[in-house]
Amino acid sequence: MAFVWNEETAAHLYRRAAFGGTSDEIRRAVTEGRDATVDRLLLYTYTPDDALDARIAAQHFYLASDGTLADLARWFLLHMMFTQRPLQERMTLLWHDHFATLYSKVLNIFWLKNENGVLRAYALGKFRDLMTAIAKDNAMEYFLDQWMSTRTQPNENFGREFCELFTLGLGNYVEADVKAAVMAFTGWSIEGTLSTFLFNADQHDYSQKTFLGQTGPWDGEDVIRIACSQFGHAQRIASKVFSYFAYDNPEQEVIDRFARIYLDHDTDVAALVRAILTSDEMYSSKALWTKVKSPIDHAVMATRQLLLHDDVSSTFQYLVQGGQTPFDPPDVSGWQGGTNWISPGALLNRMNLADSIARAFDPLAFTDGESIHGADDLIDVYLRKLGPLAIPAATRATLSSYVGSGTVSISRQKGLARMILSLPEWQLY
Amino acid sequence: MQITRRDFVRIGAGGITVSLLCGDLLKADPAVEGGPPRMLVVLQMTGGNDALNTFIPYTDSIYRSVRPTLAIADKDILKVSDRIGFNPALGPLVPLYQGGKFTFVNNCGFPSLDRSHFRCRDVWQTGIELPGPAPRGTRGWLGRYADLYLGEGATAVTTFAVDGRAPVGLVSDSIAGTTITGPDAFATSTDLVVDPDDPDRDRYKSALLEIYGQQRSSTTLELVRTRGIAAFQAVDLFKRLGPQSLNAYPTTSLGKSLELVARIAAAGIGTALIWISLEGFDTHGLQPQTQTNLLGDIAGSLAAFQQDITTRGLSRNLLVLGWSEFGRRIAENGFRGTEHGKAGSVFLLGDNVKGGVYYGGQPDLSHPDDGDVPTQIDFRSVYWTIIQDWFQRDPLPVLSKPYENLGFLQHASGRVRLVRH
Repeated sequence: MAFVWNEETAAHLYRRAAFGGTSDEIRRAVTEGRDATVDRLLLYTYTPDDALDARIAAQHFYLASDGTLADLARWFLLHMMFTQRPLQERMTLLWHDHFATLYSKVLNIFWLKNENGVLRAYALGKFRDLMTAIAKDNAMEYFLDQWMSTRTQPNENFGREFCELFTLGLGNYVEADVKAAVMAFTGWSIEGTLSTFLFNADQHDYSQKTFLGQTGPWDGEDVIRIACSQFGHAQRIASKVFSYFAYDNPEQEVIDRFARIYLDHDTDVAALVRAILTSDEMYSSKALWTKVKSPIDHAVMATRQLLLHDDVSSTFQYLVQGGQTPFDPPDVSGWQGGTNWISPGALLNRMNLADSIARAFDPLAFTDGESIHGADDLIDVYLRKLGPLAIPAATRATLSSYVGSGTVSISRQKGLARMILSLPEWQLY
Repeated sequence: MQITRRDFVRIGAGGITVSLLCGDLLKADPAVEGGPPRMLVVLQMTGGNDALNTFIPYTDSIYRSVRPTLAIADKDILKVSDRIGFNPALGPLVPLYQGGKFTFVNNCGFPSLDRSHFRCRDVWQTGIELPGPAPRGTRGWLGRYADLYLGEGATAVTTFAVDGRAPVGLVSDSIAGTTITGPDAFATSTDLVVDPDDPDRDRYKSALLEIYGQQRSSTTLELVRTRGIAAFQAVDLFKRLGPQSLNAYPTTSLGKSLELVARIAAAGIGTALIWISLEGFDTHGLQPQTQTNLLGDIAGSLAAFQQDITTRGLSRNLLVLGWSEFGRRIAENGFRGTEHGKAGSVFLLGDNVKGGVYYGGQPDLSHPDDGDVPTQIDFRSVYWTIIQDWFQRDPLPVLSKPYENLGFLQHASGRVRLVRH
């Protein structure tokens, strides 16, 4: 099927790249065209985000080392819910998962907030630079015990995950490469008083090492450079980013094509993302409505698309119970994702968050400017603004029967919003 | 999204109706008739537990010489045999070991052990030595067991997990199962909440249930829909949990999870396989405090659990298996920690355990495998023994090839009630 840029494909781009679009945003995107819209999302520094900055400043968050996880999580959630630069936050969330660190071990809110800032600053920069900044980041150094690794007493935790999870993936290195990477990173540590990176030269191993077939007196930046020049690494990142935006389990040919683009652009993530978001695959039937919303996607997209003025206070508890506590994934490999988000317990949890969201929701603001002459029009408007969602005829009939005929009360309009948020269709995006 | 085998979920109760929320599923549940089924509780010690400081080979001079700061002081070791002693934090398990209800199997591993958390975890959970992480949809060893022996008529709570991730070990073709991320998750959200001031509450619930009874054309939507039905089913079943325990459990996540297990067992709702994961065993540094806390939590929670289920008259129906993805390196790493290693130990608790002795022999520290404890027991022998002697089923179709029966369980005595055939 030939690619068509219309309300449906624009809404798809916004769901995947921007936590869902409002009617105004979709209309603008359709007018501007696909490539211009993708560029606008990518070149986010041209879009001011003053309202978000003011909103966060007004909260007076206490995010020092002994702050609370609930406050830090809310700080991140407000970014995702109310930013004018949604692609930056989308990528920050991806890297937050890729470079998972756990509050339950780090126990330092200030460090975790700083790490999140690194992810945001490098969200669409060169991966190699992001990897370097994260390897020097206090939260990561502490989380994977890198800060204590010395040439006489090397600690393998960070070096091993650097190879297995962050850059190469199993099968693209051998045990001797892990050992070489570990030695290259020795002496990379934490300056605790200032909460900055410390290179402890006395503890660094300056000897010759062989890493991925290249021999030299490598340090951490060298092994990052070497790892990030491997085609296996490019395949890993291309596959991960493609799956995030387009569809899971991409074909080998697709992975290889985007891996080459990524390497040709010197690990530039923006170039990779632009190529994905303007590809045919992105708008194919394999992509449309095939991904499962994570609990964070669910909460953030509902907040944005229902035009809520503020976050719902039960969101953090909902995320904890739904298994996606920000800053505290299950382990260093991040969240499992996909259909695993849809366990029976998690689904009930979503339906109950939808209740809190519906209570905070203003139906009049939501339908402002729409021409509604009856209950059927109302349902059409809701399904369009929250999708456009295609639902079975039987479900449509149940919605009509629930809403009733004649004037639809405010409370029943809230019920309609809540029911749509609880539909099987709305759990996908 | 690629739809995989496990996405095809059969829900035993068939179509959903409005009566489900108030209906009485149990009366129609054949598993409840004729006595409770045998249950297996799997405790995953995530991160790689240091087996050498758990079940300590205290007579081996190498243990003390390569662990100058980590070796447990001889006077503190709980010497349950003349060659192996318990970590001092395991005190509550000593009487259970001596009473014959607790044991452990040393030197468990597999040939291609590669020190990767994620691959090793997947190997243990699937029983298959895949080259890399298990692709999404790969069935777990208990998932295959469930497909063969529990599949027909399964409900949303036939398998149950308390885990931050849906455990691969339980992934099956035939059972959706219920996963909660912590023991309180269902406790605070056991029903479909609707604003109490909403005059449309009943109208709303009816409509939503009706919608979840309407078929979808895509497999992913059908997955969401059937899991929704399972959620409504689980809500109904969890209203029937047994009473809270009379004795005190530790107020930890594990303690609360095990109390929930006892209440599920007491409810007789047909749950057969339970999976609990406990994080934090990846002790690259400052190991003693972390491991002491974790082992103390395990010992205290298991002792409380065993007492609770004994009081409830359920102890003959429950077996606990504890495992970890690998053991840790024999020598310490210089920061009072240990690196990823190879063979480790599993433990078992239950009335049917032949405890008071241990299995798998001594860790062979004088012949290390690249610095690690060498594997002497294929971990699948543990699964083989459990399927054969606990579930009294043929393990061969589950594990594909024969493994040794390690003999740590009593053979069936008297009538054994199994979950549906």
